[in-house]
Amino acid sequence: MDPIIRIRDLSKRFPVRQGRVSLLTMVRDSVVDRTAQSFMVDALRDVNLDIMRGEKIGVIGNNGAGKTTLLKIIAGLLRPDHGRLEVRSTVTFLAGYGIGMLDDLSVEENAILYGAIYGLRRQTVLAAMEELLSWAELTDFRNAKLKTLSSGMFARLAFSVTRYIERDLFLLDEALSAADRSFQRKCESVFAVRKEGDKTYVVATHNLSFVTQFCEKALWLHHGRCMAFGTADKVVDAYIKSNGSGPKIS
Amino acid sequence: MKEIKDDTVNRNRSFQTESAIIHSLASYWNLTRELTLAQIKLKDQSTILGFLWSFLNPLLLLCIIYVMFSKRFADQTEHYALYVLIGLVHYTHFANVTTAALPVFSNMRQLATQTIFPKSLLVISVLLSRTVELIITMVITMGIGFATGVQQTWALLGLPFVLFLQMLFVLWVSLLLAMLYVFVRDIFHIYQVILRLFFFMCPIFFTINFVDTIRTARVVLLINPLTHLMTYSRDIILEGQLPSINHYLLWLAVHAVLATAILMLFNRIEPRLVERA
Repeated sequence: MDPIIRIRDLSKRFPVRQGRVSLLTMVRDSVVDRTAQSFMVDALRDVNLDIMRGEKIGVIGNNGAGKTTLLKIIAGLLRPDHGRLEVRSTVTFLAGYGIGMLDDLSVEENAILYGAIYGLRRQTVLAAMEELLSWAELTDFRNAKLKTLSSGMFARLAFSVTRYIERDLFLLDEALSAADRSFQRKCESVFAVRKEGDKTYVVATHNLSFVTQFCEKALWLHHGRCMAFGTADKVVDAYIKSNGSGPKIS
Repeated sequence: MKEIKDDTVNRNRSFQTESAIIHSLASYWNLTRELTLAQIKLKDQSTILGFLWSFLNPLLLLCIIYVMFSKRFADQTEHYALYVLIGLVHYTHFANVTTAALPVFSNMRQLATQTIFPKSLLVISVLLSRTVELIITMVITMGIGFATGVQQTWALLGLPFVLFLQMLFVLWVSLLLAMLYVFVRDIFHIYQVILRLFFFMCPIFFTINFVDTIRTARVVLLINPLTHLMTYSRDIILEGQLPSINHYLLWLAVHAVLATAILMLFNRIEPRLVERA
């Protein structure tokens, strides 16, 4: 069976520019040394990866390891500098919850807008509105403006909408970072059901217990390099033992 | 290590069935509609007069221009106030859309950099939300024309075609500016100056005949697409005449080619825009 994602020798570098870019600095750069004002950082270096359909993969590593860059490249939001990438599916990329929601729109209006951003049609969201608001515990707030909601209510609304997304491949970046304990439990119950499903998940997170519970495999990145890829328990264990910078185990 | 080429990023193109492509187009249309509706709902929401400002702005500007220039131009131009108003409606739409679209990657940075959809939809939704205002102000202008004794004819049916041409023109300019802004932020300030200059390069409060003797000014007016759009609308509303089909088709072809080319360029460099946003 062909993998849903195939990555070969994938590399990505970012220029880190010091100072503001303006017309003046652009003109100056074209006259003097172009690299004087910036240096390059390796976000990913020679990453190889095969992800099969239906697999749940956790991507772990310290801040700046390249987790988000990897997900953004798979999502098509960034182009790699080198390497090969094949993605054989439609993709949903969720980087935090509530992106695109607007403070001055109501809860209902935001649910429709947020759904549209992730490919849900207005009719689909409207038909599911009662259940959607009930799951988010926001039934009494349907006409309230988003800015009157707490961050927890906001996250619940966004997560509730994403439950209706029907795609084969989900890329989640720090999906549960803003959640309090009770909301986390609700989310975990959703993920527990999805664990048995045929959808593919690639989840970048610092929540190691989520990786061991939800994911079969894990990828450990460090300064853009693949340190380990294998069974979630083993990779997480190696990551913890190394304190984030250990040797390659597979 | 192999340098990446277009064919090395294989993003499910060969795996998309016809129905999947249609589904994508439908969901993009759905998103465009929702983004447009959200912007319409939010515009002037916190002001007392709300949506009325869309028409009050050109109307107040009309009052100033009329006081200043009516003595000079009113006796040469029949229905001078309406003549100026039509020009202002076209110019205001152009200025509003392009100014709002220019920093769209910066204003909607999270949406632009962390979600998957063609980012040109952000510009298109700005255009559509402001075009609703254009349509409303144009209808009000026609109403004023009717109330002040301008005879309305079947030529009014040609007005949607003029507005469509205006949208095409504003679309490619907006896409171009939104791209440029990502690379050079100074464009925002430069463009404010250009817009002021552009106001005087359009026949808003004077007629084209006014610059007959100044060759350069006449050439500038004639190559300015807004001049022709204003002329079309004035011919239709004030004279009851449709514009020449050949002339219209020529401009339609020009704007369609430019809009298509710039949209393709926009889509092609979209990952770079996302990276730099």
